Amino acid sequence: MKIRITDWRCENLRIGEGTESFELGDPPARWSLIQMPNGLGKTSTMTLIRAVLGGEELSTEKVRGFRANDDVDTGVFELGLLIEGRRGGSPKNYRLTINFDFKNGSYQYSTLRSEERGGGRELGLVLPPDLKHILKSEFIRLFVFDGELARDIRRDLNKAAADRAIRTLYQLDDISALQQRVSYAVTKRQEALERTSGKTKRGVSRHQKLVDGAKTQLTKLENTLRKKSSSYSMLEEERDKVGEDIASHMARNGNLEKRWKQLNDEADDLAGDIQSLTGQAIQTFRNPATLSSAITARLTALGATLTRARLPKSVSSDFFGEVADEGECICGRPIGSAERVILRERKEQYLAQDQISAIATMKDRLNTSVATETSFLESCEILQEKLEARQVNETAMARLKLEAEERGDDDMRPLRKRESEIKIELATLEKEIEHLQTADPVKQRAHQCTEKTNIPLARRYHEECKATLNEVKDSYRLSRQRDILLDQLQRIEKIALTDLREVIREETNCRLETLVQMEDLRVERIDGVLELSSNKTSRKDDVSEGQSLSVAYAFLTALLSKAPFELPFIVDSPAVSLDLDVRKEVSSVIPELFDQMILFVISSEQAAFAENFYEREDTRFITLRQTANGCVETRYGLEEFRRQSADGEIT
Amino acid sequence: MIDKAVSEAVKAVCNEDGMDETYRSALEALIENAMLDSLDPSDIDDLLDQITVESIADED
Repeated sequence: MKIRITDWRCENLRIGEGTESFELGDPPARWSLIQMPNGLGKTSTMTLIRAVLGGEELSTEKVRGFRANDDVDTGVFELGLLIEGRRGGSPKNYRLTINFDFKNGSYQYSTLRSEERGGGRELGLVLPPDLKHILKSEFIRLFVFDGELARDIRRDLNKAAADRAIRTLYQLDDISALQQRVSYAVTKRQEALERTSGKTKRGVSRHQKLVDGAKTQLTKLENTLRKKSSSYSMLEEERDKVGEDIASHMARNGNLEKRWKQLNDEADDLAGDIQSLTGQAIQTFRNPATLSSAITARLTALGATLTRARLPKSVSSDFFGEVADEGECICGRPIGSAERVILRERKEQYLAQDQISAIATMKDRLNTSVATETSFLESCEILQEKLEARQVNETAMARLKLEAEERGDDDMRPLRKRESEIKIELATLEKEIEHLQTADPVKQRAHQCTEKTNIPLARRYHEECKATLNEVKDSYRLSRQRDILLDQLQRIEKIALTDLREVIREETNCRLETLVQMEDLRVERIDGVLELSSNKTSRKDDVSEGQSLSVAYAFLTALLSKAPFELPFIVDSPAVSLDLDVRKEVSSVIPELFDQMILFVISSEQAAFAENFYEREDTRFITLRQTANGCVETRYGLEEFRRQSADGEIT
Repeated sequence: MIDKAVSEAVKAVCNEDGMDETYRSALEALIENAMLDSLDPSDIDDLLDQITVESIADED
């Protein structure tokens, strides 16, 4: 990604005459030297360039400090950029603006993207997203650079940390941010789990125990059921055998046999009737119209209402569908494509044919079924009669067996006793088996069944435990996957930072070889700070001003030149604090370090510094000078630049 | 495109951890998208799912 500054302009600000425009060429010149005497707004320009690039917050005092004079209430600073995207393509123009309201000390950022479709002014700074991370105040200060502070850069870097510059420029901070996003994504997934918040190994073990316990209980209940079912079958066999024995004993007692047979036939008939009547009663119970006369009356009234209202109506979604397909409406109006679309959309609001059929069937049942159905109470009464008849039948059979016993059949007594015992045992077992295996929720509630006593409930509990365990396992697996990914990202960040430090250190040292020829000054280590050494001492902390500046430029240019971003380098007073020898060295080297340099200089920096640019072709010279009547003029060209004297006057 | 230093770091870490080429490429894409501010949260889920971990039973 390549960023160039094309121009800037100001209105009513403390720069030059107040309203000034600085054009750097189209395309912008590689080197722009702007000569401004002290007091004409170099510092303000640098401050405003930093502010508008970083969208900095400005205090009321700072805003008012930019005001050209008391006669103006508003002001503007506008910076033109030419940005070429990472993936190439033609560069795009951006204009970043700050509008000032000096009265209330407020300001507003806006962006003009002339090449955007329908491009207009947008509020705020709207720059390519790739740039967001580098356009932070701290980093902007490295390429919109105050040269007068260069002598302190090594010390400042010790505090601000060279690492931070590397991390920002090479987006290593984004890897840190990515780690947070990974953690957040995993937390969200774990929170979305329905059954549990468990996500640790301990949680897995705990839920595994629950599954094992549920499985054991289920197996235990199934074994109990098997035993009881087996006992039940054996008792049934025994009951049949005892029944046969009783029948054979009856056969030995002449006239008893006939009565016994009659009672048995009657018992069979009653059993059949009771079974069928029970089914019928349940069926009747499911028909609300048969439950009570009050319900019947209300349903009949509903049926009558539907009939009276002629519901359901014949209009249906099909009708509107057909109308949409026709060329014209039933009223004769033509139906165009727009009407057709609306008709097809809105037909969904109406009942479809199958829905109408369902309502029609319901109405028909309401109107016809009530009179023909047997009421629930009638069914119950008939069933009750049959149950009483069975009771009578059982009493008669018992009496017959007693009669046989009284006639001297000694075997009948133990048979009768056993038959009675079996009956009780079977009833008990039947009840226990039902408790164990019923899946009917009503019966489960009635028997107060739990997963400890009922197989379907135990099975469901086991399945739930297994599902929960699987979720905990998934959650735990996710935690471990997250830990692995986070560890990898941390290592990647660390390795990349170490490599980049080394690349930049080597590059810095290459540049230092040219810049500082008198001494073999080298950056020994970048470890948050710049550690220097030389051929004279292994650790060098006391460097001269020139050396310090050289280290600063070497490091900054190495840092910026190796970055994935090509940034302009804007520097204020780059040589003002250097003696002439160092100036010469610096000015012969730094021009080649950047693709765009904007240098704010004062006339005293012409000697041994600015003059080294005079012969360079792609250089723009801009001179601001104060005239005798106190006005400020902006002149372009080398001649005007050279004529500027140290006090700001043209010589 | 992410910087060569980051790309090399991804390669080194993946080699050390025995991750395959598909994973390395996905991890690099994830970092690149994060740097381009165009990260889709589902990319994180997809990458996590590619990380094989021993089952708890194996571990026990």
